[in-house]
Order: sequence, then structure tokens, then C-alpha cells
Amino acid sequence: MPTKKRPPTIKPSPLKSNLKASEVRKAILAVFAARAARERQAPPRTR
Amino acid sequence: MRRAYTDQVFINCPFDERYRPMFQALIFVVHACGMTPRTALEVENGAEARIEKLARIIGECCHSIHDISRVELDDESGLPRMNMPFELGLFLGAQRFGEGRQKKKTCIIIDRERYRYQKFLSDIAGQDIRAHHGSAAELIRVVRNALATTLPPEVLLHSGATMAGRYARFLEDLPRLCGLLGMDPLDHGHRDLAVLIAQWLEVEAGEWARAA
Repeated sequence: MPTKKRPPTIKPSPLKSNLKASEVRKAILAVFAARAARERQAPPRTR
Repeated sequence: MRRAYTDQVFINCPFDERYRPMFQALIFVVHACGMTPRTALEVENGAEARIEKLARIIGECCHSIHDISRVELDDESGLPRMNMPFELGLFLGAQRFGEGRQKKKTCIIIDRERYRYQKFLSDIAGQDIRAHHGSAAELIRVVRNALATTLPPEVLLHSGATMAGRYARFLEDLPRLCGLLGMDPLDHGHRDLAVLIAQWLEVEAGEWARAA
């Protein structure tokens, strides 16, 4: 008897239509961290 | 949440694409001064006539910013846009004929050049008209300096140049931030922008305090 195939699991999208303030805050902190990393890697300014 | 009358700022300006950098700068500087920006864009309610909405928002705001720099002939119609002078008149009328707290109203009038208004709105002669010369940084400086005069003496604000620097960093972060949040940096409403700016300023102030 052929085994029944399970339907593929549909994962919910990580993007929610109702973002919480804490999620917005987390995203801002991530952007700040990325900017700080870029600034650390930038070569020192020369005159 | 009930907002204090004296913390609310009515923004009367163009809402088109060309003005977007200046509009964002206005929302930013009002938040950076610890106040709440209000515009006709904040609520879309088909049941409320535009004039009713404007009258309601103006009645709720103690302060206002009027950018009349775009009173100019439209390329297509050949006619000037009169909404900004009309809303300025509505605000001045509320201040003059209103009662109680309406008498406390203050307004900041800004144009591209300081005396250009004399050619199309000479009735406001005698008011202090400021100029931004089409620069977002100058607009921030002018609005910051004017709003600072309405605050109690124990409140000190960052300088206009510092605020303009913070605004430049916000603009730099905006595309990445919108990407993380599933938002479009070129298509967000007043409310979305106001929420992002308020949160960004709050987080940035925390980082600043930690670094100091």
C-alpha cells in the first residue's frame, strides 16, 4: 500500500503586518551595529 | 494616549515627491524637539471632509509650521497652489478669533527667500518670515530655533547643526531599516514615518548616552 505523502509545511512569512515597537527597536539597533562596523573598517582619513 | 496641546505642531507644507526630503526633515525636527508633528495626511477618513479634518487638527495644535515656498505656477495647469496660504489663514484666524487656549497659538512661516512673500501674500507683512533656501539642514535649523522659544527654560535642545547631522544619519539608515522591516523607503505614510523617526531618535539618544 503506497504511503500517503505529507503535504508540504507552509512556513509563515517572517514579515508580519503588525510590527511591535520592540521589533522596530531591534531593527534600528541592527542598523546602528552595521553602521558602526562599517565605520570601524573604513580607512583612516588622510589630509 | 492624550497629547498635550502645547506639544502639538501643525505642519502645513506640500505633500508631493519633490518636497519629500523637506517633509521628512520637518517631521524629524519636530520629534527631535520633543513635540508631535500633525498633518492632514495622518488620518485617511473618507467620512470626514478635508476642511473639517484641517479645522480639527488646527484646533488641537498650539504651534504650526507653514512652508509657503511652493506657491508658484504649476507647469501643467499654469495656476498657483493656494492650499498652503489658505491653511495659514485658517490657523491665524483660529488664533485671532478662537477662545481660551487658541489664543496661545504660535506659527513659523517659511519661504525659499525671505521677502518673496511680498509679491503674493503681502497681508502677512509684519510677521517674521524665515527662509530655508531649499536646504533641509537650514529648514531644521530655522524650525529648531523657533520651536526652542516656545519651550520652558529648563529644556535645552541640541543645536540645529547637531539635529541636521542626526537627520543625515537617519536618512542613511532609512533604506536598510525599511528593508529589515519590510517597508518601502519611498512609499510610507505620515504615520509610518513618524513612528520610525520617533523610535530611531529614542534608540539613538540611548546610544549617545551610553557612549558619553
